[in-house]
Amino acid sequence: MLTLALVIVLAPFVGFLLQSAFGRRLPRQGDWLTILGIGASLAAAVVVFVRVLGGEVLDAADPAAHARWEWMRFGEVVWNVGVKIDGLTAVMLFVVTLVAFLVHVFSSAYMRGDPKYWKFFAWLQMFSTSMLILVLADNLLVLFIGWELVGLCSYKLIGFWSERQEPCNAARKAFITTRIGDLGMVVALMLIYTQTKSFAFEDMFRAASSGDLSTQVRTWASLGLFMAAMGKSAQFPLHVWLPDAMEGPTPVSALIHAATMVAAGVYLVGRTFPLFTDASLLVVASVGAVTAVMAGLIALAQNDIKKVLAYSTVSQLGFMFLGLGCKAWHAALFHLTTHAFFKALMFLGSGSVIHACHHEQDMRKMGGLWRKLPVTGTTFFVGVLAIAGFPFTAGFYSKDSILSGAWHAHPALFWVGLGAAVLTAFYMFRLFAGTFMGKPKDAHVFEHAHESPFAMTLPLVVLGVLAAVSGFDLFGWHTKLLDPVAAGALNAGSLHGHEHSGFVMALAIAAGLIGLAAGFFVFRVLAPSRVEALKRPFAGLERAFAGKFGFDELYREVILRPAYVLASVLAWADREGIDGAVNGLGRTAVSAAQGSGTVDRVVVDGAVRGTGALILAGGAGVARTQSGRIRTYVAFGIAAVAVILILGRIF
Amino acid sequence: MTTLALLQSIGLVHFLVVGAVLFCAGITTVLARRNAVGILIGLELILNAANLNLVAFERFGPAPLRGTVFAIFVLAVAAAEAAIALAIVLNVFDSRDEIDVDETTALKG
Repeated sequence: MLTLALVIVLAPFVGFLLQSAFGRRLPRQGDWLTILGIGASLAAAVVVFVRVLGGEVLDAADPAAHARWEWMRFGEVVWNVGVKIDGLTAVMLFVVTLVAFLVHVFSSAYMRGDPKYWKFFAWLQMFSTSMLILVLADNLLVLFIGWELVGLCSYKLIGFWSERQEPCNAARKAFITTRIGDLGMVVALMLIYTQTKSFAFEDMFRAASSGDLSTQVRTWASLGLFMAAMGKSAQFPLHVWLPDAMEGPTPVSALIHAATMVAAGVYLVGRTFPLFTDASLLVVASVGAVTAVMAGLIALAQNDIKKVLAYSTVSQLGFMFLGLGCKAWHAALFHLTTHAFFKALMFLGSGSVIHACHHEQDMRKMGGLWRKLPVTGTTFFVGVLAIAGFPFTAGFYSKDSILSGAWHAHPALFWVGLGAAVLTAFYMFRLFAGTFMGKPKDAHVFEHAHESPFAMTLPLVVLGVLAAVSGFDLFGWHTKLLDPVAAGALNAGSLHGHEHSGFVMALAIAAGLIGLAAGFFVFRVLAPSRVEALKRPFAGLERAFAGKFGFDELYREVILRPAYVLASVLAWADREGIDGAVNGLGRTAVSAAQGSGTVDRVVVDGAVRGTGALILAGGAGVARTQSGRIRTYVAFGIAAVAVILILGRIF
Repeated sequence: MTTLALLQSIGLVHFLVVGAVLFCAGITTVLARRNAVGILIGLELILNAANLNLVAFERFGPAPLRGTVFAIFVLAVAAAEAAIALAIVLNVFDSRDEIDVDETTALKG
């Protein structure tokens, strides 16, 4: 089991190393190599999944389920690196490796002909590695390493087309915004470590349940962790980066910004759930509910396919946090899984559409594409049904459990969530109708549209099937994998997610159906002119939705502009004050040096030269006495002796 | 006055006077002559004036001064010096065909 876990992480990592070293020179620029890497990882993950299903290593005390190695030792303090496999890990491993594998396959067609084709695959591999590190980690420190690595890979892949300015800006925005959240993670890490002297999950859970961690510490630490989750999972008010991240290639949006990395926030909260107190869970639930509705409203007014899907992702992640905040742990993680399937499906579907329409993303220029793209259209429709919560699709079960969890915990938030569910169905139908149904709005785009190659349709079909059926308790993946972990996370018992009440279920079904029906009525039955007329009284609202409620502008005015002003003031102070002082000091030193130089030149050099000149002159004078005439010398000698004798006689 | 008495009347002063005369003659020779050999002769006069003094002081001095030993040393040194100096003079004559010291001023500063 441990070997398998290492294969899962190391296969894509080796793939990354080989691909970045040799990818460019390999045949097909090495895409097969990376597909092989993630394929090995997927195979190992499937084996792990099956063996955990077989009940092999659910016991955390089992050494095979949990391995750790010493990483650093500072005297008594030891930091470990560890791998832990439980039901949640098994599910996440399967989801991550499967979606990553399908995205690799999809990209081999979608990215064909890109000048940096090989580099794209290298970074996809590195992302897969990082995400798997994050999932397999047995302690918060290793999880944090994976957490930052996925952030880095996300940055590299959003800004993949770095020739243009927008992807670069989007990449920076994503990186900085998530980093703001990660500050909370660092604070939580330090707080927990100072209290428990350990990063390991089971140590902190033990401390939490035994009361070694006070409620106050737990609240602050869990809020810190949630802050990181808010950044990574694009929750209000840190959601602004995700829609911009759509500047990255579409397979990246599917893998990172829909299925896996953004769900890491949900995974983090789910993993550290025992730390959360009622107070912090209320924050989680409220933020989730607000985000779900807000993003749904914004999605209503977007015309870029990928932007709609991005806001829908934000909204669905809000749903998951709503579930977590309502202690519907199982429901939230369940929704994470189903969402990964149907959202990856829809993103890849939109990629297929964009590919077909020659990189046209505006759905106002599409329409009627179902006939041209039968496979893409059909699978996309399955995805729409799933996200809308159409009965018996995957999203139906998971959303229903979240809503019933909310009903039991916070009825007020339940109604908010229900509203968001109606919105979801409505805007998803709008997206589908605008893209695939009705008459073609742009003849040129329609004429040239063509179904995508097999490498792109195959992932769509696989994900379509999963989006349809993953809601069922297939092979017992709920009861055998998630439930035991949920029971541990919730400290026994209260599995709200499973106490389905008929009333809530009816409302949830109704929400999805009403949304879809309203969408059908507005976008299929009514004439476009009537829709315009209906919309007119709400023009202000629509502008607000289309303008994303002005969060970007708000941040620009409230955070960026003061920051710029502060920066320019500081720059001015720097230039005038500090630079002035330094330059003044420099100028003073220069003039002092010049003065000193003059003194040096005139006085010291003068003295030195004068001495030299004097000695020269003296030498020249004395040299004349050395005439070479012996008799003169002798005369001098005798005279000198005479003088000495005379002087000796006198004194 | 008998010859002996005459001899015995010769004292230290007489020797010193002769030595001084000799010395002055030597100095004059060295200063006045331009011939290198002449100068060497003058030098010998000076040295022997000194020798005469040394011997005289031994003979008449208040305590035995062993001046004779010095005189013998001086004679040896003078012989060596004369040998070297005459060799130099010969070489100078070889190269310049003359030994006028006023003309050999190659060591002028």
